Amino acid sequence: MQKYLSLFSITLQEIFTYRLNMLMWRVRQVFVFLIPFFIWKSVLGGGGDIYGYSFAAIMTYLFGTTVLRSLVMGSRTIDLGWMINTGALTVPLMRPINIFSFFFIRDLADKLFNLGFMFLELPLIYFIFHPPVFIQSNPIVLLYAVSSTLFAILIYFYINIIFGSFAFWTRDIWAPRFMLMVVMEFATGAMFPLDMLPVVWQKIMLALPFPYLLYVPLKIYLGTDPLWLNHLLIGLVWVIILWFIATKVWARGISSYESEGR
Amino acid sequence: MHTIIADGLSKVYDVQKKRPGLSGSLRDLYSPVYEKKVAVKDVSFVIDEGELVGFIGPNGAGKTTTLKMLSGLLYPSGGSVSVIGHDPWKRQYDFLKNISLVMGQKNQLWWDLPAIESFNLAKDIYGISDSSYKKTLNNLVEMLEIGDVLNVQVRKLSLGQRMKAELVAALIHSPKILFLDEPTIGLDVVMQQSMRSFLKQYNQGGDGSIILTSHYMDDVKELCKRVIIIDQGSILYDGLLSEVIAKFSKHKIIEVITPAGTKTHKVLRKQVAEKAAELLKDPGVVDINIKEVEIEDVIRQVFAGK
Amino acid sequence: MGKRYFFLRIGGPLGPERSRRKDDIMNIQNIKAYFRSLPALLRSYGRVWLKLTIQQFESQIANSRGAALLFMFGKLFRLATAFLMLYVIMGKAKLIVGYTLPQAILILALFNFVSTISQLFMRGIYMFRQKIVDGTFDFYLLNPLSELFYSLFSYTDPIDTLLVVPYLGLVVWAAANAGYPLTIPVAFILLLIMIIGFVMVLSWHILILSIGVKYLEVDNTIMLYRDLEKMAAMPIEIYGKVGAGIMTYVFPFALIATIPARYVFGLYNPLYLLGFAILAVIQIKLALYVWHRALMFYSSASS
Repeated sequence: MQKYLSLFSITLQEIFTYRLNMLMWRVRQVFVFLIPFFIWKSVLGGGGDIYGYSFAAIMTYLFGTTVLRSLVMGSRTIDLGWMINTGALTVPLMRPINIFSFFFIRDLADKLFNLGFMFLELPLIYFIFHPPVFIQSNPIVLLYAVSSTLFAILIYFYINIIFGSFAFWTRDIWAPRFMLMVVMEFATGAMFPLDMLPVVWQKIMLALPFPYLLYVPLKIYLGTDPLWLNHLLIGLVWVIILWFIATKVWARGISSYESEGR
Repeated sequence: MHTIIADGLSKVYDVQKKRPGLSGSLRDLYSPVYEKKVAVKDVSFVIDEGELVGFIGPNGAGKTTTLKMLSGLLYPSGGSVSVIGHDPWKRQYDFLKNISLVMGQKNQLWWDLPAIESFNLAKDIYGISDSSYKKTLNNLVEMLEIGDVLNVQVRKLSLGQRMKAELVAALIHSPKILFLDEPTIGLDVVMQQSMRSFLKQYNQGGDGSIILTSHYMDDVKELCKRVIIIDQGSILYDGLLSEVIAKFSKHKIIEVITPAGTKTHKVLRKQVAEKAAELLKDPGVVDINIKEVEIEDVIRQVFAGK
Repeated sequence: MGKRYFFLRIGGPLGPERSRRKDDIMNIQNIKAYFRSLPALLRSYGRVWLKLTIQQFESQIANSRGAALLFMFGKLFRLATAFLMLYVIMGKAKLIVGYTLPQAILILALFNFVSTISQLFMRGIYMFRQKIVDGTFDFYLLNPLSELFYSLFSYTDPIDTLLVVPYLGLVVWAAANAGYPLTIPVAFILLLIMIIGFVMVLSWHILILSIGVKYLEVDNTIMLYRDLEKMAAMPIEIYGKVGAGIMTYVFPFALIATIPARYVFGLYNPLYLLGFAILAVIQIKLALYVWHRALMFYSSASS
C-alpha cells in the first residue's frame, strides 16, 4: 500500500513542478466554459427553450460537464505513448508494481489535483455565470450517478491505454490521438447535449463508448434520462469490452517492446 | 589584430531551488526561492586573427557559458565583449554570417534527411553563390572524406560521420570565427584523430580563428599553442601551453636507467641538477633522462587545487 | 545593418542599437540601400521557407504516410461538428444577435479559413518548447535569418496547405449563400483586413514565444490563445459590449471573421481599418520589445 501512496505523492509533485504549465491549463478550464455560455445566452437569454432545454437547464448541463470533465478526463496515462517511444517506460516496468496500477494511481493523482483546483474555479465560474446548480437529493439516483462516473473513469483509462499502446508499433502516435480528441469533443456531449440531435443520430452515438464519459453520467445525475438503467448497463459493458481490448493490445505490444530490448 | 576582446565578462543565472516533498512543492508554487549561480566571473582575454585557442577546465567550469556569450547566445550579466568588431548579443547580420558554433552533443542537421539537404539549406540561408558553394563543399568533403555518405539519411550515420557532416554544415559559409564546443566528445580514438588533423589543416589553410573547448587533453595538446584554463568561472591561466608546465609544476622527472630496469624520481625544479649529479654517482647507472611532468598530471593538479 | 528581420525592421532592437538606427534614418543613403536590398531579402526568406517546407514534407513521408491522412480527416470532422452545432442551435433559433443562419455560416467559414492560414504559417510555435529544451534554438539564434522566422514559420504542414483551397471554396460559397457574392474589390478589402489581422496575430505569437523563452511554457499558453481565438468563430456581438471590445482592440479576433463578414454585408466602413493598421503596428512593436527583453533571460540548454 505504501508504495502506491508514495507513487501518488510523487505524481502530484511532478504536476506541481511545471507551475505555469499547470496554471495555464486550469485557466483554460474556465475559458472552455466561455464560448458555449455566450452562445446559449444569445439564443436563450431572452427566455424560451430549444429541444426542451431552457437557458437554466443548458447552463446546468454545461456546468455539470465542466465538473465531470475534470474528474473523468484528468489523466497521466496520456503520456504512455510518449513513454514507449522514448524508452521511458522501461523504468516503471522494472519496478515491482503492476503497470496498470502504476498508471491508474497516476491518473488518480491527476484527478485529485483537478478536484483541488475545482474548488477554486467553480466558485469563480459560479459568480461570473450564475449557472443554476442542481443538487440531486435522491440517494439511489446519486449512487447510480457515482457508479456511472466510475465507469466513465475506467472507460477513459482503457481508451488511453489502447491509444498509448499504438506507440509499440508506430512512432506516430499524435495523429490517432488528435483524431480521438476531435471525436471525443463532440461525441461525449461536451459541445451540446446529445439529445438535441435527431433520434437516429442519438442512437448511433449511444452505441459508441464516448457518450458514457460525460453525457450519460450527467443525465443520470440530473435524472432526465428516461433510459438511464439501459445506459448505466451499457456503460458497464463498455468498461468490460475496453478492459478486454486493452489487456490484449498491451500484452502483444509489451512483448515486442521487451524483445527489442529498448 | 584582435578579433575577440572580452573584458570583465560575467554571467549569473537565477536557479530555482526546490523544497523537498509534496508540501515543499506546494510552497514552491506561491513563493519560489531563487539562488544566484555564478557561471562566469570577470573573465578578460583577447584572441587574434588566425589563432587556435583552447579553453580547458572541468565540467561546469564556465567554458561553454563563455563560448555562448562570445557567440551571442547568452546575454552577459556584466562586462563587455567584442567579436570581429561586433557586440555578439546584437546578432547583427554581418556578425552571424562570419561565425559558426559547433556543439559536440547537438545536432543542427535535419535528422530524417540526407546531410546534403542541410548543406543546400545553409546555402540559401547564408546567401552563398553557386560557385563558391560548390568550391567550399568539394573542399570540405574531400578533406573530411565523407563524399560517400552525403546522400544517406543523417540518422543512419555513425557518430563520427555525423560529426564530420556537422562540421561541413558549420563551415560551408567560410566563417572567420569558429567556436567548437567539445567537438570530439563520444568519438572513438581514430575518429578523434581524424577530426584533429582536419582542424589543424583547416586552421593552417586560412586566417580564421578557432576557439575550442574540450576536456580531452589530446585535443588541446595537438591543436592549441595557447590555452586558457578556466575553473569555477575564473581564468586560472592564459598563455602558451608549453609554459603551463613550467608555471604550475614545481617538479621534474628524472629517469634513471640501470641494467635492472628504469626508476623514476620526482624532483623539485631547483634541485634537479644537484639530484642528477648525486644519482650519477651510482656506478650501476647506464643512462639518465630529465623530463617534464605529463601535462595531464599538471592540469589535474591545477584543478585539484594543487 | 542589423540582423535581417524583414518584419523586425518595424520594431528594432534595444539599447545602443536603437541610437545607431537613428543615424540610419538620418542617412538617406542607408534607407535607399535598405529598400534596394529588400527584394533580395524577401526572396531569400521565401526560398528558405520553401525549402524548410519541402524538407518537412520529405521527412514526414520518410516517417509516416497514414498520419497525415488521419490529421486531414480529423480536421474535416472537427469542421463538420462546428457546422453541425450551428445548425442545431440555429435550426430552432433562426436569428443570433441579429445575424441569420447563412450569415453566421459565412462568419464560421471565414474564421475557419483565416485561422487555418495563420496556424499554417505559425505552426513552429507548437515545437518551440522542444527547440528550447534540446538546444536547437541556439542554432536559430546563430543563424543570420531571424530567429522568430524559424521559431514560427518552420514546420508548415504541406497537407494543411491543401486544405486551404477547399476552405476558401467554402468561404466563397457561404458568401454567395448569404446573398453577397464576392467581387474583386470586396476580396481586395478582405485581403487587407486579413493582413492587418495577421500582423496582430503575429504579435500575440511573439508574446507567447517570449513567455516560452522565460518560463519554458508554451503549449498551454498557445492552447489558451487558441481557445480564445475560437470565440471568433461566432459573431463577436454575442460576447456583450466588453467582450466584443476586448476581442476587437486587444486581441485580433474581430478581424478574423466578424469584421470582414460585416464588411461583406455592407455594415462596415473600411475607413476604420486605418485605425486597426496603427493598432497593429503598435502591437508588433510592443511584442518585439518584450521578445528582446525575454532573450536576455535565455539561458541556453546546458550541454
